Amino acid sequence: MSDSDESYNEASSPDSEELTGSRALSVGVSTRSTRKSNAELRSTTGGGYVWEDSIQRPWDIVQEDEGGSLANAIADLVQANKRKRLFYEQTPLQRGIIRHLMLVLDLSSAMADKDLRPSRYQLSLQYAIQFINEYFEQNPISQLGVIGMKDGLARLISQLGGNPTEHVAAIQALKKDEPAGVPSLQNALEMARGALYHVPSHGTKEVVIIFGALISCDPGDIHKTVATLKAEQIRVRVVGLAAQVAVCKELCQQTNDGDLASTYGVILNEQHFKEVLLNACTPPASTLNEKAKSKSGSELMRMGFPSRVVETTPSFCACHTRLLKGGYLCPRCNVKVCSLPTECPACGLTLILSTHLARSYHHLMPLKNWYEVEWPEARSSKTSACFSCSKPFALPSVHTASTKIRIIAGSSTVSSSTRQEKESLATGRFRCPTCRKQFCIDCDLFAHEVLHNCPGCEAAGPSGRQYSTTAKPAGEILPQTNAGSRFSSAPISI
Amino acid sequence: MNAVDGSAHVFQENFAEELEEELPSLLVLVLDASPLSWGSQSPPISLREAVASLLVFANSHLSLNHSNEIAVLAAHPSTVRFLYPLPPSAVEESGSSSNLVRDDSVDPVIAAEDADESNIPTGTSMYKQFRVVNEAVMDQLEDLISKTTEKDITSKDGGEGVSDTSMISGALSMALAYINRQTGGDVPTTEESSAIKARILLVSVCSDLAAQYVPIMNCIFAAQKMKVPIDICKIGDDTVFLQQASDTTGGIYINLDHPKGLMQYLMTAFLPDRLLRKHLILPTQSSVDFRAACFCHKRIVDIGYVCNICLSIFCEPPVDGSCSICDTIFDPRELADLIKQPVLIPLSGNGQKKKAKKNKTKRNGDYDSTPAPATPSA
Repeated sequence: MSDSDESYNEASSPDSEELTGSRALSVGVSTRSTRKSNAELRSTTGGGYVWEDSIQRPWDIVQEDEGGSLANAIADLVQANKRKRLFYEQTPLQRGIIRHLMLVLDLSSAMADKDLRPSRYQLSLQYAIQFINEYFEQNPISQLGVIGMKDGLARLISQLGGNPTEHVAAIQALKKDEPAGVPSLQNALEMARGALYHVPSHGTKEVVIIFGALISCDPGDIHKTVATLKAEQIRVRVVGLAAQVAVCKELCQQTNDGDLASTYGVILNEQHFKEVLLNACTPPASTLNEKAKSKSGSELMRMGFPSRVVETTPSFCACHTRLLKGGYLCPRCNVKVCSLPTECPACGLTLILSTHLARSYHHLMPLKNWYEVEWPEARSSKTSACFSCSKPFALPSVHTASTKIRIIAGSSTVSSSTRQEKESLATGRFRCPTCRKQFCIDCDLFAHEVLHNCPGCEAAGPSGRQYSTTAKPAGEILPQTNAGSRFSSAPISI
Repeated sequence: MNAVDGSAHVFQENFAEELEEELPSLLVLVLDASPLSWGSQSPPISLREAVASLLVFANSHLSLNHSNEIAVLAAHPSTVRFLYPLPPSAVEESGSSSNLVRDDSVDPVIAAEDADESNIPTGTSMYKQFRVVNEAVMDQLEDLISKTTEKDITSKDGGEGVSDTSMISGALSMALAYINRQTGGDVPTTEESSAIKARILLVSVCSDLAAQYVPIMNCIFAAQKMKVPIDICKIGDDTVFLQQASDTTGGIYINLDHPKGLMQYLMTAFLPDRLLRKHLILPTQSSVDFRAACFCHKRIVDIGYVCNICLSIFCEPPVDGSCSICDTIFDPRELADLIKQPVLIPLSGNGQKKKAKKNKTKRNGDYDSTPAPATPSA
């Protein structure tokens, strides 16, 4: 367990350190180090500042093959792009699955800048909506609220609640407004603190701030607020749109046990903005410190699993007083509600579908990374097609021959031919370490990003299954029987 | 009903609309080929009869639109395999037997196809595509069944007895991966809607899928994301997970009352594609059982207790105060709150005072000792 933990740290941290390092340029760190890290950065994330890039002409990137077709070249580019995304976190960490998150939007005049298209304001609202949808898809039993910072005040945009449509509607309504005034971090944080005050101890408390300005206009001492947040175990993440700001840095560092790299991201471009923001959708891993502080971190929650009813005559639901012909009945008090998950308006029981719980399981049991098969192994193996989609793999002889022709025929620059040679070295085969089946790159991406299953392990029967249920006869129903050994009994610190 | 002219006009209008929207559709048939379930259990329909009906159904799907595609998967207790289209390796292995894969595959396939041409018994008047599918499915299925050994169907849990559970989760995963590839996993298209509409039809006979709960759930969510409906044609007892699958993804779930009439069910309910379904009144499930099974006794519960670390469900708070799945130790105070029973006030005045007092001390927060449920003894 411990060594896989380290590998996770190695994999995740350097990237983000460079990020913050490079953006320190704007606040005046020595230029030499920044330039260097910028270059590294470009190689890792695929793009630095837009204005620092050399002019890119699409017709330079794409090369025709011998038949004058662009299909191969495009396929190569697509492959290279996919390859970037192939590493996923696979250590099973103990995570706070029941989250309470306040999203703080900067609505100050700094957001009127047009360095992001169409403007910082519009783009961040648009991404905020995407964030909300993604958040509820991945964390169906969590809650979210939205706060805006405008004119030095904090405004509550939508209450802490579990219904994404309400939040989205509230943010949609903001689109017509204009950003104005200065933001106040302290006011917003205090309001978020108030909103998260009543959260039961089994839930995590988080604040995500989209911060466009470089200043914060506060009525009091923000460091005191930071200290209170820390004491109340509220974690703060900041997405900076302009440059690194000292107070945000301190805020993230203090509230996340010194973990700055994954919590404070300053964006490079639109794409990166989205990535940094959507990273916050993954439930945060519990830390040892946090566990030690709250003795009551883990507890049992009473939940109701209502049954759906279909009625011949419409009746009112208790949550929105709408006339509906169907709904869900609370198993404790028989009150009808129209949508789940929710809290029973009459008796306060948390009502949920078992499918909602199942949606979060893949965070707890991530799929193992598959490794790429090398050519010698690929040549000797009998498999000639992807196991799950039966797409034939590139044959070694055919592939190298065609690349040779391509390089000779293509009157392209040196760089492009080397690139093609490099491409031909990849087999495009990926192997699951558990079931040893081979898959194509598309299935790899699909299995890790959408499916969260390994088709090979699933097809091989119980013996080959990753989370097999061999251990306990009584708990045959679910994978967690084995998961016990996977979450080590002591919580893992990150 | 209406005047003849009027109705004809309406029909033509609708028809034109349909034609405009008509898109090829991909059907992935997943056949549960668990030998025990088909052989020994209650369904009064044999595998052979069912396959015959399925092949007719597959052919009619292909005949609806020239560019319709089909894939057939068999889920077996020991493995999952493509019956059609065959993976290239299977084509090479089967050599001279009449097999074919999609035309755009690699060279060996074309070679096999050429060999195939010569093998055609003269005088067959069947449409080629139909024959190709039928023969591939029959060959592969026979191969699969004949190679089934006793070992394959004994349960792998190390226990005694036989397992009749097919790898439904594996089959669904593969079906989704195949759909992902066919609908543009290969060449990402800019527009959201893929060129080909896909759906999955699962013909299921075995009922106990509890061991595959999480992988099946993952498949359901993936299908929901990809907007692929999962239709379930169920022979035998209802399976809750599969009901949830079709409900979540917007598919059709039918438990056959008369399995002998499989063909009719297939043709009437499952043949229309997604576009057509909007205009039809299809069988719906009035009630889906969304209740959960607890992990400790497999009881179906409607009020359960959920561990906040591993999200496992229990029917009652654990006796030893820790989660039996992930070994988390629960907060004893919170646990005590859950165990607390409602206090009944006995009719006699004496007892009333006593109870009230006891309750009061409890409120004051002496929770350290593990409290016994405060149920009145008399």
